[in-house]
Amino acid sequence: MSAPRAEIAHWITAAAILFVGLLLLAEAIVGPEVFRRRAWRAYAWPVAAVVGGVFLWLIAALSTFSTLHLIAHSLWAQAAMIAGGVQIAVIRGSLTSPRWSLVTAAALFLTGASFLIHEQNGWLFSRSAFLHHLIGWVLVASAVFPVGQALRPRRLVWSTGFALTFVVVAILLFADRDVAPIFGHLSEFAGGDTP
Amino acid sequence: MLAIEALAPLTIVGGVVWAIAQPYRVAFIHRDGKGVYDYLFQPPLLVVLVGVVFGLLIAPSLVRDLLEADERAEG
Repeated sequence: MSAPRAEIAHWITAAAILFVGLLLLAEAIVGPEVFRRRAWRAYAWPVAAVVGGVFLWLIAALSTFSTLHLIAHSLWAQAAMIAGGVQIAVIRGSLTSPRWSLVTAAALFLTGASFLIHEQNGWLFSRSAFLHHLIGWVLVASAVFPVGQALRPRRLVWSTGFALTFVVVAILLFADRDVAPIFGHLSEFAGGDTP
Repeated sequence: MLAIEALAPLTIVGGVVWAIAQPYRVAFIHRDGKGVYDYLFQPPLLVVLVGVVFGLLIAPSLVRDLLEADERAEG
């Protein structure tokens, strides 16, 4: 059996990210005290980030698209594992300062920036290119939420915004196709009829 | 409480609405040129699956803990 197409890998990732988004949304709704009453629930999202990082390393190792793809996936893998690892330490009580949320902010920013840098085509080149740009900017902008959590940890807007970021990214990843037009545009270099 | 209980059904409804709006994203309905992976991972059905898993694994225990926390706060 051949390897799955890139779009299928993105849909599977989208499903995992949507699940994490629902978890984070639930935590934002009930508050961390109730949410972390059961250890398996408290550790679910940071462990998912670390496991996601491991899978991203696998993709980075097996991906043969380009050097830029390799570097971008490696950066995402590293960012996810560091953010997940720090969050595990926060839940264990090893790290107590809310300022550790700045690590998550840096991971989001780095992930968004690498999305933007590794997409070499313009917004309307294809749907995939459009989504790379949009996801990149969404992630860069969403870094403000963990920064807010670090500075004003009790405000609901930061945890809700952080959770909704995952839901939005999941929706965008579900919209991904390997070759598809965006707003009627598809470059001839991507297989379209018009330049 | 209602918000927690609503998360899973809303997600499931989202997936169902998506399947109705774009039936060609569901391989069971549009079978032409579809491979094994297309049958295993159909985006609208993945959304429904996420909602079902959240509704079965996460929401019930969360609602129980929320009720317990409310009871403790009251008494």
